[in-house]
Amino acid sequence: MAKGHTARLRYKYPLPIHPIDDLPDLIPQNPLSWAYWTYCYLTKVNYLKFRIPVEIIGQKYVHILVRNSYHMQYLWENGFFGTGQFSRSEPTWKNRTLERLNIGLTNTRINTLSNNTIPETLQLEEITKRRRMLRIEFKQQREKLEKQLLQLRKNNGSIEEEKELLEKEREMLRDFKAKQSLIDIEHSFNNNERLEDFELIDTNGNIIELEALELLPVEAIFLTFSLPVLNISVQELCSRLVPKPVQNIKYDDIQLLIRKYIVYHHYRSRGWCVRSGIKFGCEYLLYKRGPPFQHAEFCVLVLDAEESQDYTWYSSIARVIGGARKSLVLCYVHNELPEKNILQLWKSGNFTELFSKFNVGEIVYKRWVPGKNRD
Amino acid sequence: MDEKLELVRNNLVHYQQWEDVRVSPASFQWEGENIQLIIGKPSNSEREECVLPVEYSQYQESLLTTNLIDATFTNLVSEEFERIVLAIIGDDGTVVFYYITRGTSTI
Repeated sequence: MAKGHTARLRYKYPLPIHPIDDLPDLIPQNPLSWAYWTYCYLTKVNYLKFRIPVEIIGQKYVHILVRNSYHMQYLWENGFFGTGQFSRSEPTWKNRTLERLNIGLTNTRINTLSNNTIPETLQLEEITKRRRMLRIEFKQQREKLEKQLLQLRKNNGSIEEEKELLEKEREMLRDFKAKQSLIDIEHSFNNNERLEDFELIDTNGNIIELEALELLPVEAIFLTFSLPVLNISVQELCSRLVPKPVQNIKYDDIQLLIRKYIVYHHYRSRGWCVRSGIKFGCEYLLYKRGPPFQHAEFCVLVLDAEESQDYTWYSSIARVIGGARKSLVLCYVHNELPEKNILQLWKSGNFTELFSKFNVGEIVYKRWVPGKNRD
Repeated sequence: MDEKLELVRNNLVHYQQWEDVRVSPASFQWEGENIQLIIGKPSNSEREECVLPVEYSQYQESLLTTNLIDATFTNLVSEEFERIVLAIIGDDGTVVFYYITRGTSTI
């Protein structure tokens, strides 16, 4: 599996802290190698040597953006942080657009590949799009054959005739599916340039970097409070996230943010890759390793320890999540301190103390069908 | 153009590949936020859609209520549109889209 191998190399590190694994060989009888080894050991560090700058825009609803393409790539490759604004998750908009507008890239490599290999140059979004088109094409074909069957039934055809037609239909569909390929479907794409595409090209003929990597507020807190990655202090970041003069901040302004962060930190520090669950109506998605490796296994709902909702509320979310073949985790956050002490810790900027005053408890909610789930 | 309009407009034009995308000039204020529609045509479709961008945050009260949807239909959506496309902007810039149909009035 060449693809899995490349992904494992590319996403070698689950977080932006790296073990020091490239020390030189130590030769016991050679004192010089000792000196060099010690020098390397002392000078190497396991964290990022620079801090990544962020741009925070918006007033009430803030957007935390990383614009430098190297920084964007670094955050994606070291723990899958952030989302490309015009991509499904990894910021691939620029490459997709270059390909679509035929700038700098050629498609010749794609066409020389055999039917069932997915060209390496294709971005994930493109592959999904092509798969969808294949499915539509297949369904249209099936519909055609089903119409024939219906016609036969209307004309009072015999059971033998029907069987024969069904057999033929199955065979034809099988053949059709075998012939379909991700490569050919490309030809039916409409690749025409549109008027709007010209706004993407600057005066030198280069493409404008329209896409930024956007970080969730909790991701940004994690990358500055827990790991030294972003070029902003946690105090400054939090004052931008809750844009009110300190003396006016109430418990209600900060409690949701703290609760969401506690849960984010809880799973990140236990090795899960945590990403936004907005597409499934929950707070977070948990990936064992990350989006390129497998689908998310769990959907997390963040709740207050005392919170209780109407039953239909849980059941409707669980049904959506079950439909996407994921398990729902209800994650309850318990707060050990009275509200006014929490508020005080926030105002004094003592976030380590603050975040350590919360506990997390989890329950997996699963729909059980007696006829199907016997275990 | 404010951030949310710009983000959704660019998403529709440069990610979803919609055509004839334009920001409709009419607007109204709702709890301190500007509410304005984007109109455009999805690729492979003949029909224009009205898009309502709304921001959504993990830790703040959402602006999105049925009252806002009602007010939008009353103030901004012309009779020719049966439905709007709700564009919810998550706080990592992800935009999720939902149809909301006008519905019938009973009284």
